[in-house]
Amino acid sequence: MKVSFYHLGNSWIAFKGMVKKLGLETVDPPKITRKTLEFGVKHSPESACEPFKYILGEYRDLLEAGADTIFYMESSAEEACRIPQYMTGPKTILGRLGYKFDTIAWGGKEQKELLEDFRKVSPGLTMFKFKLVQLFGIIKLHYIEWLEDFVNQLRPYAIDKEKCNELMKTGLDLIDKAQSIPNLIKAKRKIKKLARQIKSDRTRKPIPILVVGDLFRILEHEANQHIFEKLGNVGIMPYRSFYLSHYYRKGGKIGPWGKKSFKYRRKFASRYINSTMAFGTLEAVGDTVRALKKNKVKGIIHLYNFTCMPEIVNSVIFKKIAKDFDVPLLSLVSGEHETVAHQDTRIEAFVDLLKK
Amino acid sequence: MVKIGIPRAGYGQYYCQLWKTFFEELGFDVVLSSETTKQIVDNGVKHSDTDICFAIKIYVGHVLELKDKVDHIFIPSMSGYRNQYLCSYHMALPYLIKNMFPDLKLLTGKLGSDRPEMRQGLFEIAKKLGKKNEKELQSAIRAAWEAENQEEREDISSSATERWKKAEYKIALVGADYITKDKFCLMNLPGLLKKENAILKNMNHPQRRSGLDRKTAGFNVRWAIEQDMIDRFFDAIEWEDIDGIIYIMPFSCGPCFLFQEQVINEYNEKPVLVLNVDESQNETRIKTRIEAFIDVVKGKKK
Repeated sequence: MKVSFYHLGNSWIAFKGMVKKLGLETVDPPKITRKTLEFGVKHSPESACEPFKYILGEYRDLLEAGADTIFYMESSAEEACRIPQYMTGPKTILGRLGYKFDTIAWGGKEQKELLEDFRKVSPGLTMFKFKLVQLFGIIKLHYIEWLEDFVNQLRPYAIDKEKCNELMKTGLDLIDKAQSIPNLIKAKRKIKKLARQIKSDRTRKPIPILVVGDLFRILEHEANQHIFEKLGNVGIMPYRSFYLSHYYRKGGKIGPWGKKSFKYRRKFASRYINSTMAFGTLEAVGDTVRALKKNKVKGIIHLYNFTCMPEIVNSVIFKKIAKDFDVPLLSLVSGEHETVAHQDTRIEAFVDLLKK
Repeated sequence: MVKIGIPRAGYGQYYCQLWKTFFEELGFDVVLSSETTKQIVDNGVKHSDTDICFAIKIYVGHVLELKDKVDHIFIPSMSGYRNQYLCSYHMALPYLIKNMFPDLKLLTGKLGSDRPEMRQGLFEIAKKLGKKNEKELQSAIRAAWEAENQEEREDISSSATERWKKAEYKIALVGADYITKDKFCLMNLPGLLKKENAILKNMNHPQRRSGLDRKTAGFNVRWAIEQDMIDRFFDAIEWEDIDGIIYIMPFSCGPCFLFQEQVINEYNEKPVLVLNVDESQNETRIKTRIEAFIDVVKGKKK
């Protein structure tokens, strides 16, 4: 059995670590190319959102690369976005095209049911070990997110921006290789050591902004066209509101952490919206209101996909928030026809507005 | 007297009779918005966000029509059946409208689709308006259930008539109630079919429940409305009298497309016509498609 996973930015490294801990063979997902998206666009229904098209294309790539089982993230029914249905849809479409494969889903269910699913691929798995494996996965996810934030917040100060990209690459390699928690801590130390060698100018004052939006566009660098990198290169400090590990802390029901942070965000959001929608959309509103009230950020960038339901609701709400707090807002909607130049021009104009 | 307006669109199409009777029994003036017209749709499209689903655009039009006529507009936040949810637009509808038009006076609360949750939600809303007498509330809700049952009975009795037997082709209409009950969205579909000697049956009250267990059929969808539609679709497939199925959905409806991919393209024993409704529709366009569809049905019947 060869297990593989779709990218979801760098999150696949954590999934890989988890699957390896279960004692299964893994295949690294091939890089996303233009062909991946083209395949997805060709075979998916027209009003499907961009993630569906990406994921469909990626599944094909994974199966071509030799995998026969796909490990993917699942959400609870409470989260009404369409992403939880995105396994059954591609499976029907790929089945029609002659591809056959098994799946493992992580999340969305009670621990006991999840354990039964995982026992099918790894017989003799005990509850204790299963919890440890999940804990390791979440911690690894947390380290990856830490690294992304660390590099993003270093980039505006760095003099040679290329060095930051190198740091990101070596850092991810180090985290990928670390298969235990002490090794992860060692990797973090090493990354910090490497970061100190990068020449930086701490007298600069980068403008802080908040990047909010749907999970896929924030996590997947191919889909958001490396927006965090671009912003860092022009002297903007991008913060983000969505972290996948937060979601698993709450949805995975593994530990007590994380719940509190969701509660206060909901409290801040309640003035604008107070009903469950999907994957941290409500929390994103809460985060934005909190950051604006404390005067921590000076602008908002809202990323979302064409036909993404919860984010369309959110786009209306962000417009109102931007009006109330009098801050600039850039809504970047993308479909499969999005080009690099299109996004670049809009970001440039937005940055000019911020710097005035 | 306090005037309450109920938009006759979206979830109002399912429950407007119930809500109307409930508030009238409590002594409020209730104003229903008029049937959907071209002007309402244009107004809704003009004032709402471009990407939103067409059903919500119609809803916005109805809200704007009621705006100056009433004191409160009743827009509840609906939340499906016990294990199922609605699409994010319906769940966040009052917040969406509130952020679009901050000046509107809304009457909101959380309502569930099954009766105990609905009752509890309605009681809380009535208490907000100052009606705290428990007995009064109980009698009002009883009258409201009665009105709802009455409506259902009328619907069922009107279907099995002479016309049904006479018609050569029987076509089932599958769709959410906020489209199939709306005459504007249907685009004179019954009339067009009548010309072709066919009759349209709205599947909203199925003659018999399908024997398919939801879970064994493999379509355990998370959205209440779409689950309903899948059941209706299988009802239509199993019902021998039905010759063809028209599946109607609002443009850019989120969950519908998955249903279309997984169910309609897989179970194609009977001819299916998929219609997308949006603001730029006209009768001629539909007419050509209906004629072609009837030809297919004819061919299959022979």
